[in-house]
Amino acid sequence: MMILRIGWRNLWRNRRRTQLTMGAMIFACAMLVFSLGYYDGFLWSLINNATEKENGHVFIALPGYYANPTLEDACPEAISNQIPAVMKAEIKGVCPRLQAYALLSCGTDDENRTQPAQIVAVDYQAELANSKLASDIVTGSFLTGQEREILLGKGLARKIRADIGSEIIFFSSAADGSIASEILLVKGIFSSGENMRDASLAIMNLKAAQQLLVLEDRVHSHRLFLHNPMQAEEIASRLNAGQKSLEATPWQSIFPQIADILKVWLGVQLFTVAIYYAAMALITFNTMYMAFLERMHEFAVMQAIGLTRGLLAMLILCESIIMATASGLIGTAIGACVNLVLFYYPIDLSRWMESITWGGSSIQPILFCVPSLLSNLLPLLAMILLGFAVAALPTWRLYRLKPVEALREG
Amino acid sequence: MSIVLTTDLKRVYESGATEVKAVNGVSLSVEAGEFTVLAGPSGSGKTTLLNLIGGLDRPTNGSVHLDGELLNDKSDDELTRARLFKIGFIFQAYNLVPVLSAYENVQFILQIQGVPDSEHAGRIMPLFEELGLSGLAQRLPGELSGGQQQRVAVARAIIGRPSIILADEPTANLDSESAVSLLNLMHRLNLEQKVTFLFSSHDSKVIDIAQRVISMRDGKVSDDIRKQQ
Repeated sequence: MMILRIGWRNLWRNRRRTQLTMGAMIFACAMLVFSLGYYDGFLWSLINNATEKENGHVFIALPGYYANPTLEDACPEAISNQIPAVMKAEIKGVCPRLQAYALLSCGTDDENRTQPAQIVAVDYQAELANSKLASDIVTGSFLTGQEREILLGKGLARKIRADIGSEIIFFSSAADGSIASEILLVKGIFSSGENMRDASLAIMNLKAAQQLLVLEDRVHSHRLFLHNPMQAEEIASRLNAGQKSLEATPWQSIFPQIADILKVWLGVQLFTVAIYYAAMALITFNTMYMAFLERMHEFAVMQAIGLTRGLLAMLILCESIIMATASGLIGTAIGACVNLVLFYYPIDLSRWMESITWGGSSIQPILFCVPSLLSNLLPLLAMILLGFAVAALPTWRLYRLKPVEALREG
Repeated sequence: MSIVLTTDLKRVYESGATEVKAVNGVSLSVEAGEFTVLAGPSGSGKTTLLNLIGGLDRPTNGSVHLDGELLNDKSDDELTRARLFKIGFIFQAYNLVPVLSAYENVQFILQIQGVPDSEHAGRIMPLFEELGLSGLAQRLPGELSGGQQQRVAVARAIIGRPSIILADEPTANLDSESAVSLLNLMHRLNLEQKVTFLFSSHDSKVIDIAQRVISMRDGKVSDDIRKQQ
């Protein structure tokens, strides 16, 4: 107890030096927690943008459809009997989708107002419950289930000069070879941040599309949304093992670049910790070693009056650990608070930056952090470890200290 | 009974190509309850001899027995434990732990000796009373005068009930009045509590008050006088 008390008071003998060192340690720790939270936020956004709007976490379709999609390769709309009951707890929801290509035309006076488009037909209730599709609407509103509704990508709407309420002529070929045509009304315009997608995509109600394309009670794919996206590979593998009529593909196979990042993520985090703390270690080490050298005489006196080298080493360790732990806790608290604020209130930087498409997903210009246990604990534990590390050399010097020489020099 | 027994004790330092014989064949014994001074000019080997007796330094040759135990063969940690339980040190520069109060400086010894906390106040406060430190217990060393710090150092040296107190020039940094006061105090502890003291000093006041004066010159004992009390 006395050792701890001496250690604590020793830290405040040179108050300014301790404050500066701890300030640097707190800053480094807070910045590290923030950086790791930001990286997690970045990765999370990348996965979410790739999965929650478009593909879901597991893509289920007829075997071979994902690699080579055709209008005719449709599967039953109801697949709940294909999903084992034990797995249902892990699944947040299922969104059936139908996919086709069509010519969309707005007005009749100008042929430039006709554009080929990719059509995605969705069950609007399932999408509202599970995906983030509705969050992209920038004008008008999302589908409500009425037969003739259509949503246009911002770029596509601009190309055919359509606006909310505009009549769109839908023209395509149905699965039975007949001509599918209908007049639809623009219900909403969406912007996903991906220009290519927004310039070619239109979304309509599933039932209407099934009728138009003669695909009653059939869809091209089911997108499974999971509570934990990281379970996608395991769920897909269990689904594939249970039946052969459908093929389940996890998002990791659809977006291999993102999956590759995940594999090295812990390594990236540890590397970041190492970079942040390398300079920190030198500063802290310098402080500890200076404090040690200044007190060589004092340590010799303590040895003379009966303090063993083990207890003296504990004293040095105490000082270092107190400083590192206190700085780590304060820094982690600050960093975690910043992360929490940016988790609930992300900062939109789209005024200054544009989104980037990468790896099949999009990187949005949003300052967004995800506070995770690992991103908080890793910097704290590393900081405590740093405390041990910087005490190593003074402790080693202490074990070689000859009290009589230090007393003579003092 | 001999508390300290040295036999043909030598300590040679290498200084470049030359050898410095700081202690050169000293054989002496210090008996329990003695108040002894190692006297002599600077460089005569007093401090080196004290360091050898206190287990802070190792002899080049010869042996040191403390309380019947040979110190030569002990490891560094064993010597530290021997100092903790058998020797009290008083230094010329007081050398109190600056971040601990007067009370805590003394309590520190009891803590590392493993004395239960409940006994600390009961042992420290009467001693402080006796040394005139009662009102200064909570002060840090920096808030005490030299004489007061040296009294705390005396309290720290004797609180662990050691076999002997080794005091290296304890009055050298004190003014005359404080030095006399401190010497009287230590003399009283010697007479009343039979605490054994071994000083190194060339201060005439210390030499005057000592029962036994061992004079040293060039690392050797040149004279050993026991005074009539």
